[in-house]
Amino acid sequence: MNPSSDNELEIIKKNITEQLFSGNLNSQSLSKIDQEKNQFQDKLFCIAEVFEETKSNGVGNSYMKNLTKGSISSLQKSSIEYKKKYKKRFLCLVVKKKWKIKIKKIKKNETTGIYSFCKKSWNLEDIKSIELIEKNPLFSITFNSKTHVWRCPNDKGRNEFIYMIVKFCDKYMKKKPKYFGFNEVFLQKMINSYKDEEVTETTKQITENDIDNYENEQKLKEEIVQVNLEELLKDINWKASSDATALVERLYNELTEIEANNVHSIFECEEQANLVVTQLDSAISELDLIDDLLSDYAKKLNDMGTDVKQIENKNKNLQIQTENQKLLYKELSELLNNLTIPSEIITTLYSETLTTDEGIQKCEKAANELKMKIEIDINDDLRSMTAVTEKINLFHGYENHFSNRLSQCIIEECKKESDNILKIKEKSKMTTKKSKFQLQIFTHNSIQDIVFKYKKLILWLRNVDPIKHNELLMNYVGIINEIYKKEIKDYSELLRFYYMEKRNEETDYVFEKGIERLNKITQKIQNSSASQISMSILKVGQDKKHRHFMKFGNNENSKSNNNSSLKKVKEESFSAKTATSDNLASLPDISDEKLYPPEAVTNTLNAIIPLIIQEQNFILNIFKLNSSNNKKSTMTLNDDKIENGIEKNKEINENFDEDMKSLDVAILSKVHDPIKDIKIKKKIFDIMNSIFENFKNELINIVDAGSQHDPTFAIGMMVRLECLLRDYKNTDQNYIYTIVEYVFKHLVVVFDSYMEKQFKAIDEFKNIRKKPQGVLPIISIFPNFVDCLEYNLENNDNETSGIVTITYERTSKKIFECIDSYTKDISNDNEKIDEKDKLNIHILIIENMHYFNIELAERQIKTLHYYITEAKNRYNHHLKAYKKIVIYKSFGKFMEFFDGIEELLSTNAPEEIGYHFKYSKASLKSVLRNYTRKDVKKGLENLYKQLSKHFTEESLIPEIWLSIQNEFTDHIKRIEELINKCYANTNIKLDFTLEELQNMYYDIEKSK
Amino acid sequence: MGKKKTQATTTPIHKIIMVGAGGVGKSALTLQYMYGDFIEEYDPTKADSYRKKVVNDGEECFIDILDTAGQEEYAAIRDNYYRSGEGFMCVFSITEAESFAQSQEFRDQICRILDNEDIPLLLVGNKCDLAHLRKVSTREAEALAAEWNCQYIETSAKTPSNVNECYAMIIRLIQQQKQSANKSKSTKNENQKNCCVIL
Repeated sequence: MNPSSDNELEIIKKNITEQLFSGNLNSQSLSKIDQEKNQFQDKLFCIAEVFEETKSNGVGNSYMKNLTKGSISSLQKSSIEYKKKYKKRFLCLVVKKKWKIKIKKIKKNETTGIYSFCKKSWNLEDIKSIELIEKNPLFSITFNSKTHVWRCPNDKGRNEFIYMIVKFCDKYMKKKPKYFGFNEVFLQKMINSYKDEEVTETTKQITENDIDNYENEQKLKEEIVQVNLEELLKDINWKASSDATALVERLYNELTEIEANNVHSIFECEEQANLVVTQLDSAISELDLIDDLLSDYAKKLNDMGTDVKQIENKNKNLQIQTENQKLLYKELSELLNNLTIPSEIITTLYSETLTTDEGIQKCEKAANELKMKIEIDINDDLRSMTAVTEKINLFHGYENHFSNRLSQCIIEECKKESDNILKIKEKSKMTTKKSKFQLQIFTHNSIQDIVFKYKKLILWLRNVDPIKHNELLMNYVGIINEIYKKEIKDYSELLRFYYMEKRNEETDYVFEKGIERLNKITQKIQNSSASQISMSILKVGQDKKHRHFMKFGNNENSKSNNNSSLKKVKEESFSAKTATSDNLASLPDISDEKLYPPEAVTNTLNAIIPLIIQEQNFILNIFKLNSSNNKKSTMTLNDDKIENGIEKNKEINENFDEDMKSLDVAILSKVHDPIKDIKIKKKIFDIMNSIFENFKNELINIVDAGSQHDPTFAIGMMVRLECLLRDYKNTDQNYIYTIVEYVFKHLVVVFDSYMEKQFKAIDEFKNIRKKPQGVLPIISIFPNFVDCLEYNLENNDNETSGIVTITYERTSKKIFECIDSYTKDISNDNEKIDEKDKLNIHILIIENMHYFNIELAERQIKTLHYYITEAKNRYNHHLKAYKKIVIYKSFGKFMEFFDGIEELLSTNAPEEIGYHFKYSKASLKSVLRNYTRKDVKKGLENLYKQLSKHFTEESLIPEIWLSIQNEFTDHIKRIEELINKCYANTNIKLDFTLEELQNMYYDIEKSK
Repeated sequence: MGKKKTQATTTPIHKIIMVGAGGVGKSALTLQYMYGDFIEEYDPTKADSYRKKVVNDGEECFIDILDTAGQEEYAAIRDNYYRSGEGFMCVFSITEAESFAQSQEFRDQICRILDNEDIPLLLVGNKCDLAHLRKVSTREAEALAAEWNCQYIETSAKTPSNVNECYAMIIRLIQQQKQSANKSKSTKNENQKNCCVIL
């Protein structure tokens, strides 16, 4: 049962063609010619040697069943069976007439070697599927649901055969059969590989086949074109006009579809394929299962993945959380650290004694710490935490408690001290009694020492609680106000009652007094002669004047060493006392030391002003009214870290200490530049005002006391005050300035009103119509008044001197008005007033003006120059009048005669005078006879006598006498000239020469 | 001395606190009231305290005026100051709308700290002499005052108009408050007693 070789096959094929398809080659058997005629056009295309199962389907089926089971053992068994039962047959592909393709089976009779057709033949169209089984050289063809299996030992033959079938199927079948186990391409390859192996033979055969094919195909084509084209065209609804490409596409589509169908049908019809399909199905289902499992696993893995992710996230979150919590913990612990105050601090604040230095220091530290805790740098969010706010509120509570305690303690301490001071004072008063009153004010405020101890705490309080700080300040002010009030009051009283000089020793500069005295004098006039009294007044005045100047010098001494010279020179006041015992009020005999009122004011101010300055500086420094800079620095301090803060705080405190390390009086007494901040200025003024509440009033009391008895002291006091004003004008001591200014103005008013009184007095003087004689009191007082004011003025050249100047002017004016009121009488009512009165007035004016002139000229006061020259003019004027009166009184006719001649001369020539009856030679002679040398001398003697009778002022008499001499001599000269002129030829002369006249004056003067 | 002591203890002290934005004239008002002087220069206050003895409605009393800082940087220290206040003057400048807007914050802060809505408070519109620069109308301010249930007054520290009046008003308010507080205290005590009985 061996398969035939290729060559054998070729021979077989030849034989078959010769026997069965003789048409092609030489037909050998005639018997079959008829048959051949029928089969004339039949053509053998391909032949394959196959082995067929004898018992048709039974074994095949069982084999197939075995195959599906996949059991190899059964397969081997069956293969043995199958070898035995297979018959050798030939399958051939035959093309018949009209392109009908048939597959025919041919069998060979082994004995005869004749090939014959088997009964069975199949149409190509009936092929549903073809299966090729590679391992066993089997192949099966399913024809209309019936499967035939052939074994083909020759691979090549089989493949060629199948290839041909497939080719034909592809070409001529609408529905392609299914192929299992191979495809066209595979077949093609196979065929080609064979071709390569046997190039010559196969190519020959193929070319032969091809030629045949070609011929057949040509025919076929013609037929198909003729028969089908139209149908086809109709079928596919094609029109010549429509798109060819579309048609191509459509055709192509249809073709591919057909092809696909073919393939499908090939496969479908294959049983094994179905098996495979079912197996595949099961495999697929199994795979599905596995897929399900896999997807399940995948899902599970995914789940796990997400879980892991979640856990990771959680982990991360936890880490963040822990980190956050760590941070929070840190933050909170820091906060807690910052916000916890050691209990000892609180106990310190609550109970540490504030009376010892140590305790104060402790408290300072604690308070600072507390403050730092409160003002700690926490951001706003933290600050808004309830716990924090509560804690801070708690701190504020401590703070408030401590500040209360502190301020109470300070106040109590201060009160204690102030009580102490007052007690001591009381005691000392008791012990010293009235034996020795010392004009002293206490120089140092010991309460300051106490407050000073607390200065840091006070500063602390200022920053913590301004209200309490202010309260404390006010309390301090209240307490020391009590002390100062008392001190100043005592001082002022003491000064006023015991030390203040009541007045200048002289009273002659007071115009009012002058009037009183004048009244007295006029009363006395009735008893004694007026001249005596006025003389006595003048004398007294002069005495005093000397003393006055002595005092001047003395005072200058005391001024030069102002601070030490609290006392006045004893002798001075002694002498003054003895000399003017009648004028001075009896003084209390406790003290014989008197203070000149301006000096008293100076002393008072010197005593009190340093206290004021000290107090102001103290308050400014300790209570930090002016510490806006410090305030800021302490504010910024809190922004820094705590450690730095402490250091800085120390630094600041040290700086501060440098400023006020101790209560050094020198530092405290420093006078600073003006305070620029008006707020502080106002405040400190207010405070000072309330501390030295009564200072202003007491100062005014002192000033009033000083000027009460003698308002001219006001000028002296004004001068002193003015000095102070100048000193304190541009300083921070606004309070002092204001007070002093106020007092100064008060003094101005006092002085003004005093002067008004004086002016009134002078005015009143005018009305006294009682034949005044001698130097009038107003005139005699005025120089004293000037002296007094000048003395008080002390070379001042400011406001006070201005006031004084005005006063001088006004006074002089008044005086002149007064004098004018007398002279008015003379000039106006010439006739009413008799000669004697006129003469008296002249004398009065001359005397007064002379006095005024002389007295004031030597004082060299500029403002009075005008009045001095005025006085001189008046003096000259009245002197002239007086001289005339006096001379005409004694030599009336003599003078009148020549006056008449002079009058005539103005209209007539000198020569004509003699012709006038009145002035004839004879009358001249008779006149001259009456005034011989003797007569003249007598007349002059009388005149001189009168002179000394008229004038009380002795120094004035020679002056006037000289002036009269000159006047008279001038008259005589004039007379001589007239005689020579008018009576030139007569040789009549005066009885005396000018020399004789001079001798006469001399004699008279001497005789006196 | 003794006299003075007793006086000091018996005369009531009213604590007024000046609040308001920076530069509205709290200090100017205070100084005008204290010293009768207008101060032109501006120097931001941190905190200044003043005391004055006044006679209000025939009654002698001390008034403590705390002039606080309007600047925002001092806001933290305000809290503590407010605690001691009995009456507040909420000052704003009629020429500055923002200062008016800030008034609300100040009032809120006061109410929050004192935990009381009816503290004596006065809304003060300062700088009314600068009428030509006015930015806040009287009606607006009055509306706000009505909302706060308090009075509104316009002042000028410069001219000075209404300065004494506004302080008199706040003192009166404080006095009233104190009186009513005393009353309520006594009634409260009674109530407490009653409660005790019931318990």
